[in-house]
Amino acid sequence: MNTQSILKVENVSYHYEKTTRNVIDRMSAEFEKGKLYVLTGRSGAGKSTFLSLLAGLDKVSSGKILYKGKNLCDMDADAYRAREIGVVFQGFNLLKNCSAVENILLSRHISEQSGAKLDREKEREEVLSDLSKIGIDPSTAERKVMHISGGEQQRISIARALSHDPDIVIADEPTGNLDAENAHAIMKIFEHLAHDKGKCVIVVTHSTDLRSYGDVVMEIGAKR
Amino acid sequence: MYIFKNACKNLMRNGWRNTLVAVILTIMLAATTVVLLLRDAAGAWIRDFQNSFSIETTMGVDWSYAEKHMQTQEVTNEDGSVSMVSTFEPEEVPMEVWDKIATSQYLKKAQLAACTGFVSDELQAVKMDESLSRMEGMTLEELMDLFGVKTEEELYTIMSKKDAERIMDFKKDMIGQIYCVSDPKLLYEFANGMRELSEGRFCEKAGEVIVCEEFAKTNNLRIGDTFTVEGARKGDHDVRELKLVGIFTDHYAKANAADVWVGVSASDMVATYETLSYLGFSDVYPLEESIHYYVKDTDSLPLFEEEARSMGLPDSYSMKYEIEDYESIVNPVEKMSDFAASFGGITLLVGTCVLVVLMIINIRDRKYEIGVLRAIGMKKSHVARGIIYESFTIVGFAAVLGVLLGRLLVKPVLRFASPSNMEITKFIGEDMRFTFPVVGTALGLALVCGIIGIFFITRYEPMRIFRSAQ
Repeated sequence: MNTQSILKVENVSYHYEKTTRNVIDRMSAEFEKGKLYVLTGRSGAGKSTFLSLLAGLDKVSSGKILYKGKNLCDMDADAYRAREIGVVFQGFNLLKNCSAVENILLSRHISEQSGAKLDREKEREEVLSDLSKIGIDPSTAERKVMHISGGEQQRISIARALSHDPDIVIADEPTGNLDAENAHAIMKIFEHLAHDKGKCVIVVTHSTDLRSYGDVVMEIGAKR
Repeated sequence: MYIFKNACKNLMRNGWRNTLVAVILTIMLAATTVVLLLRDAAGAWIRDFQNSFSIETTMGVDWSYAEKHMQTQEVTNEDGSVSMVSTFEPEEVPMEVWDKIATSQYLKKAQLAACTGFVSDELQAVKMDESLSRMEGMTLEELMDLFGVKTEEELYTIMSKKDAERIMDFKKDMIGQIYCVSDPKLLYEFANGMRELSEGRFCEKAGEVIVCEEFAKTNNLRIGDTFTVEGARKGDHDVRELKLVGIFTDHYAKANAADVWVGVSASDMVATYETLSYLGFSDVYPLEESIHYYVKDTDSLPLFEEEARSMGLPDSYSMKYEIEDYESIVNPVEKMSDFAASFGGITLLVGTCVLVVLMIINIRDRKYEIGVLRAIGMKKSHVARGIIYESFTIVGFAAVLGVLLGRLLVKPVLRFASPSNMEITKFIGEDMRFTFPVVGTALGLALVCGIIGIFFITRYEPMRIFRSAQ
């Protein structure tokens, strides 16, 4: 199991625009490849905000987030999101008018800006194959996302986050809309990604049942 | 490439909205095409009309001026009583002045006309009723006898002294007049069917003449015959040769024998205006009523009058023109063209406003989509490029449709809008010049759409969108 440090949070604080109260206050943490991190905390503790900072969707008010030793603020945030990190959003954030395949293909195309051109037909087959591995059959994969179930959308969201083979996968309440059975199935996928694929997986959840999946459990908002 | 492909797919994904935008754009661009083609055709029609039409202008004595400048004199009647007689003797405008005016830069062409009397040893006049005998060459006594007056004074109340002296200066055996006109076909009698060419052709060169059937018969003349003439004034002795090229029938002289005047005399000849210089006779009488100037356009009218005055046209002469004819024909076409331009402008303005509103709604509705794309790493510039590709694709599609539709519609629109009996449709250009401004308009509209897109995209940060969605 690869356990090298990939993401380091140093004394990070964050407050929303036009407010002075820190949602995240002088937080520090270190994330390694091959580990599944479970982040918990009460509602409003700043779990999702913390993930958005890690994902490069927002900027810290103070402190540093280092990706492979480089400060995220000095990096091209778009390129970082497109290639280095995969995000599973709380509300899935899939393109509703597009099919599962189109959502994933689009993510792959965005990430391979400077990469070699692939055979589009072969790529499509790869996507369909990946989707079938997480339980999405080809006919569902070709349907518009708005016409498929929440559980399936969650799986597609995970497939999209993994589509460009990122080093880090972060997931914000990935099981929030799922029943217990589906929730455990999703957590198994994350476990597999961390332990078998060597990814750094960071999952935010408020479910105590799922804490057991974490190699490291961190409570946001608690005294350090 | 994926940005373009995704933009094309987006056009299909947001089908109803893009269809609405495409329909509005197509209408706007079709209207632009129609307006451009219509204005082009109207302009070509007006230019063609201006080339073929001009404002016919004549000059003659201004009788209101004459009334103000009458000279009153006492005349003693036969019974010894005295009458007050008011006379006005207009200034004579010599042919040189009419010639000079004809050189004006404001004219498209001029129809000059003058006549000159002739005598000939080889020809004789058509025998006329004695009551219709010519005055030219009469003595003072004969003139007084003709008008039944006893004194010179009385005669000069009937005709001016100058006219009487002119008549008396003619040779006794004057045969007739040679009418020299720029285009003999346009001479009033020919243009109105009083005279009709029955044999040969109209004269074209100096020295060629056409004569009445009766004159040809009297003198046994045939087409191609030549004969010599001399000026009718007492001082003219040079002999000139003329060639007969045509013979005409004088319906007016036949039908109205009692009204025959020298102007339609059977012994008169008709020649080109150049023949006047060729003959070089001293008697040159301008035919003012037959002198017509064709002014290029309405704007040139005052300039032409000013120039004519500076060239010697006296104040006692006024200028008459049929400007209403020109304006009644050109004005409706100009109005139609202006209306089309206004209509096109309004369509473009309203359409652009609707398009802007639609684009704003479109982009705002797609805020979530833009947020997702940005969240998964798509650069702002790539999102903007996608929006611009969408705009240009839809505008390009609408431009092709609009141009085709506009081309199809322009004929029926023109038929409906143009004044009846005006064949403007044949002036619709066949070339594709008009597509440049349409493409320009389309590019402008695409830019408007693109700029709106970029303006909103730069404002949408993914987290803000997701938070507001939550």
